[in-house]
Amino acid sequence: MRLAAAALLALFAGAATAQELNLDVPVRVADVHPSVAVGSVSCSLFADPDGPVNNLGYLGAGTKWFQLKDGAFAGTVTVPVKVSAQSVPRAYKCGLFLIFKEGGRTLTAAAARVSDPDAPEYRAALRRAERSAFAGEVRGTIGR
Amino acid sequence: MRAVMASGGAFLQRGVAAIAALATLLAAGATRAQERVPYQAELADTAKRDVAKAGGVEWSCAGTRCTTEARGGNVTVRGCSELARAVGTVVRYRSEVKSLGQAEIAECNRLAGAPAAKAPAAAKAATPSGPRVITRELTYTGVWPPGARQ
Repeated sequence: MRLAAAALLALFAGAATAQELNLDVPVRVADVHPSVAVGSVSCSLFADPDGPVNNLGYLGAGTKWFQLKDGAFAGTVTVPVKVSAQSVPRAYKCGLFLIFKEGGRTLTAAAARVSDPDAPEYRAALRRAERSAFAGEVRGTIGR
Repeated sequence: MRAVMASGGAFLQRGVAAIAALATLLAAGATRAQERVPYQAELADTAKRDVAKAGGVEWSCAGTRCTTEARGGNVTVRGCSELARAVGTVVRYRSEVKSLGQAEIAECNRLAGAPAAKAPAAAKAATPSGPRVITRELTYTGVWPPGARQ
């Protein structure tokens, strides 16, 4: 009984010390190889305005998956990120990831790297179209 | 007399410094006003078109969401009504900085001649609660099927 009360108390304490921030990330993906059925967006929050560049003041991260249809997706992915109630997020960084099958394994790779011929994760089938708009990562500040 | 002149010089120096500081502050404010920030609108139904010009900027729409980027982050009923006229009833209209309230959204749709939003509460329930941030767009175009793109 005492244990259950302590567990309940801990649960409420946890709820009171967390806050959730939602990042609405517009995503536009097209002409993707059929090995990719799912994509994801991962976002990190930072207390330091320069955190997205130097990882200073990292507060937490969240990921949301989206389903590709016929190699494409266009919509807004809402990524929830939980951080402690005391923290004040000042900046964010969100990246696009592709989840693909290869040799019976399921791999996840940043779109920026898997489509870059100079990166070790490069896959020729997933290279990005030349002269196409590409943004594999977005960064920004929060609050003014 | 010399003392009076010296004190006057110091006063002048302080004045010049104050004016310089004010000018710097004003310049910083002007730079911020020129920053491009993301905007997002949520619609009651699927957008009537993929691209629409409203509020002096071009919006891209997919499903029930329209997004764009513009300077300053200010939101106006006029900009909202132009978008509503082009793509349909708006239930939410905001930038990274500001958002329109329910009364302004109703005015926006009225000006646009669009039907009033019937179920904003349902739209709200479908999305997670908590503070929100709109980011810039993540974009990737692959080369499948082979030969379709260079």
